[in-house]
Amino acid sequence: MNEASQMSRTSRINGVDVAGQHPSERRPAGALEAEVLSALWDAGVPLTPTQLQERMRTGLAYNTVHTVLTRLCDKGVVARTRRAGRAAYQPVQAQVEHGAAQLRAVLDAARDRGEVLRRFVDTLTPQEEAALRAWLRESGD
Amino acid sequence: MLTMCLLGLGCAAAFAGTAPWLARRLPPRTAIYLLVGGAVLTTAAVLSMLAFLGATVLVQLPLVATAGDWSPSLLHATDPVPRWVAVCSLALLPAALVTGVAATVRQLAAMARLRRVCRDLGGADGVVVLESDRPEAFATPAGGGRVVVTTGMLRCLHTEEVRVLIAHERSHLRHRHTLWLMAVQVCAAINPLLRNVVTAVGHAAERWADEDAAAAVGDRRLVARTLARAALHVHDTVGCVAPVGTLGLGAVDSAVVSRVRALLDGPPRRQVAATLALVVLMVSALSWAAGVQDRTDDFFDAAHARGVATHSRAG
Repeated sequence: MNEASQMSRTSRINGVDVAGQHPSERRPAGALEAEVLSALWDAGVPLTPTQLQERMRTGLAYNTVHTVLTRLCDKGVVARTRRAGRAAYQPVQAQVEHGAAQLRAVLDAARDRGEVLRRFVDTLTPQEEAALRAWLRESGD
Repeated sequence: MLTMCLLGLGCAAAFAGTAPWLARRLPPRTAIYLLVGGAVLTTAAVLSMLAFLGATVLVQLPLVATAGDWSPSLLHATDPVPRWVAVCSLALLPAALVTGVAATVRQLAAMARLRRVCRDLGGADGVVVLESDRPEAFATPAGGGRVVVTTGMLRCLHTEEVRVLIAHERSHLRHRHTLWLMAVQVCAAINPLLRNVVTAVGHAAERWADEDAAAAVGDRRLVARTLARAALHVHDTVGCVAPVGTLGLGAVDSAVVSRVRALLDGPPRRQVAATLALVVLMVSALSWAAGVQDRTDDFFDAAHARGVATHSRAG
C-alpha cells in the first residue's frame, strides 16, 4: 500500500520531468522503465546513465534516464555499481520473483473470463514454431 | 411470415458463417466495425423475430385477448404461424435474454475483479513492469488501462522491440478493443453461431494493434520480428504447458504466424467486395425482421378492428 502510493508519486514527478524537457515525447514512466531495463540487458555490462542515454538513441534527457534508473534501483530490479569512478547500473538477476504473486493474481482474475485482457502473443503449435524459426533465420536475426 | 422469418434467420446464419472468412480480407479496423456491428444487428434481428413469432400465440391467451380487445376466434382463424413454431419462439426468447444478461454480468464481474487486482499494481495510467521470469505482456483496460510486462519478457527483447510491444498494447487500450470483444461475446452467448466471429474480432484487434505499432516505429519488419521472437521465447519458456489464464483466443487459428505474414505483406488495402457482402447480409437480416414485424402488426390490427366491431355490435 505504502509502496504503491510511493510509486505513483514517483511516476507523477517523472511525468512532469519528462513533459518539461520533451513536451513532444511524453511517454508513460513504465514504458521508460521497460526500455531502460531492456537496454541494460542488451548491453550485458554495467552502463553509466550517459552510456545508456547514447545506447537508447531516443533523445531522452540525462535527468530522465537518471530518474528511471534510481526508481529501478529502489524497486530492486537494477543494481548500482562503480565503473571507472562513476555510478553504473546493471539489472539484477531475479532471485525472488517479487512480481510473480501480483502477476498470478491478475492472470487468475482474468482466467476463463473472456477478453478482459489482451495478450501480446499466443501459444504456438510445433508447425508455427518451425515456420517462425525458419523465417527469423532467413531474415538474418 | 414464416418464409420471412426463415430468410431473416438464414441471413443471420450466413453472416455468422461467412463473416470470419471475409473479415480476414479486410483492414483490421474495418473488420472490427463490421464484425461487431453485424453481430449486434443480426442478434437484434433474431431476437425481434422470436418476439414477434411468440407474440402471435401470446395474444391468443384468453386473458391477453380480452385485455387487448382482440377476438380469439378471428386470431385463431387468421393465425399466420403454426402454433408449435410460435410456442418454441416464446420459450427461446426468455432463455436467450437470460443468457445474454448472464454473459454481460459475467464480463462486468471479471472486469471488476481485475480492477481490484490492478489497483495494487501501481503505475497508474501507464506501463507496469513486474519482476517475474515468466514472459508475459498484456493490456488490460481495468483501472484506466494498464500495460503489464514482466522482466522475463523484457529480457528477451531488444530496446526497439520493447517499444513495439508497448505501442501494440497501448493501441489496444486507446481503441478500447476490450469493449468491442465484450460486445461480441455477449452476442455470441445469445447466438452460439457467432462463436467464430468472436475469434475473428480477437484476431482483428491484434492486427489493428500490430498496424498501430508498425506506424509508431515506422518499420513493419521490426514489428513482425518482435512478434516472432516474443512468441518463440514464450514457447521456449512456458513450453507446451497451457499458460495460466489461457484465453483460448487464437490458440488454434495460427494467430501469430498469420499476423507476421500480414505485416510482411504490406499495409492492408480496402476491399470493397468483402465489405459490401457483409453489409448486405446484416441489412437483409434486419429488413426481413422488419418485414416480420409488419406482418405481425397487420395480423393484430385486423383481429383488433373486427374484434372491436363485433364487441360493439353485441353491446
